[in-house]
Amino acid sequence: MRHFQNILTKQTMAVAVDFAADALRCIAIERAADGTWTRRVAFELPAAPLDRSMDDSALREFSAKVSEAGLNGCRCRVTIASHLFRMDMAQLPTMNEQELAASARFEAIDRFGVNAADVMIQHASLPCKTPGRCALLLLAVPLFIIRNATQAVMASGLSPCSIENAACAALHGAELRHAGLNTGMIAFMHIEPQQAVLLLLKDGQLQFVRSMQGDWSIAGEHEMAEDQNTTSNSIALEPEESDGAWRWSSLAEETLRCLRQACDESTWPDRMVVSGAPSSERELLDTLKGVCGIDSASVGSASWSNGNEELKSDTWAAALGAASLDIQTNSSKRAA
Amino acid sequence: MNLPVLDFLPSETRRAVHAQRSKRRIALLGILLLVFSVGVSAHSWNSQRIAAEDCNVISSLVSKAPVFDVVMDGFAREQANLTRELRLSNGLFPTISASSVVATITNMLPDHVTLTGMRLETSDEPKQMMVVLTGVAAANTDLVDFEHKLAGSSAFRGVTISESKVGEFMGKRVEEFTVSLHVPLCVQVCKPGTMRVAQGGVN
Repeated sequence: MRHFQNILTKQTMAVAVDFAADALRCIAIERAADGTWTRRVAFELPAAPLDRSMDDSALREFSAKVSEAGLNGCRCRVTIASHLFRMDMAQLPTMNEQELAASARFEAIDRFGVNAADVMIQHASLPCKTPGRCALLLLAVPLFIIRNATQAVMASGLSPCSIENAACAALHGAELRHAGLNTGMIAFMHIEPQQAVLLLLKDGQLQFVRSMQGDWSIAGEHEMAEDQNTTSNSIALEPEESDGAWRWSSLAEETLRCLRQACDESTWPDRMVVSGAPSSERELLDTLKGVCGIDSASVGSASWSNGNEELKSDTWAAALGAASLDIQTNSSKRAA
Repeated sequence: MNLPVLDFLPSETRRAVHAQRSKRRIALLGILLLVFSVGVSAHSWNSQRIAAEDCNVISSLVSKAPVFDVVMDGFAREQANLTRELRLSNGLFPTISASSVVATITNMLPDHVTLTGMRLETSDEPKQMMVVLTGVAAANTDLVDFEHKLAGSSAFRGVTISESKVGEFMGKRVEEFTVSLHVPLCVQVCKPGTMRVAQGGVN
């Protein structure tokens, strides 16, 4: 009967599963009357590579955890690590929405060199200064990645209702919970073990996206992953073999190059917000500030929600950001 | 939110998820319906069993009676008794029957006294039964003896020899007499042929 309890009753908590590069994370949060988020469940399992089906033992463990947490039958949002996505920006002539969607798809297939039947493509419109043209953010992810993720989630007893890029999900969370992200020029960087994604926002509006591949894990022990997703907009970088600030110099320098490409002196970002596991490292923030000349701060997703156990750094930013969508939806419904 | 949610969940997967949730919901509703049906069935079966047991008791009662008419006659008798009791409570019927009075008087008759006539009348005010006896006695002493017995009985009041004359009965000289008395309606029949006044006196 416990298997069905979340099907008939109205779901008040937001559940998210994050297939991150370093771990599989599942979180369930509820919004209290005073607006605070309370964690009902937050558990972490070893990373589940999505290039193949989740193995049985890992699936059993995942199912057991979900069942133990009483999340069976719950709708959940899924986030996938950014390095599994192809990401690029494009400019197209102004056209209507229907034509734009078809053109964006065609452009993505052409740029990424993929088979249309094997990938899932999405696009988002960005502001464009050039008259008569529109800017697009193109994202593509192989279908087998999506299939493996949904199969794992469904087999565990959850019902996926959306799949999102981890960096975008983290940005959603930051928009809700991090003060001042919707005003001025802000650089938001989501750092994952194999990829860092830089997003530039002007008054809360996304202006520019760039992904930077490298070994960005905290300890620097991971071997740099085989670059299988190289795109024209992803640059593989060699991190410095150092535990100090020099370790982050390649990331900071690449960030500076991206900022120079996207901004001029008048539109230089006021500050940088960093999410992801390394965001708690002082050296990273200092290096970014030193190289890019921008005040850098951690997004502080660990403090977005209250719970029995403290969350580790900003590794939960993507999961919390995805769950925040449901929290926001539930709040809007309640207000209505 | 400025950045829209870029959802990569394919529509067929979304349909599959919805189908799975629908299946689970249908299964749950099916289980609930089954449990409800079983509960209602069990309740119905139990009610039917109790009703059948009651029916069996009635059937056994009827089957134990020789015939159904006997049972009905018993009911009719009981109804008559109840009706009589009701009429008694309303003062419409004497508590004693004439046969009891006759039996009691007959029981008191001396050896040489014979009754030749008797008249019984019940009056409402006062509630009593007026008895007028006519008969013959071999001698005056027998008549007096009879009168004493009647007067000595607590069931009879106002015993009076209203007439006594010498006559002839079957070729012999006898005393012809008329005795009047009354019986209060509160008397009780103690045993055949005897009566006594009920405690509490005349109602």
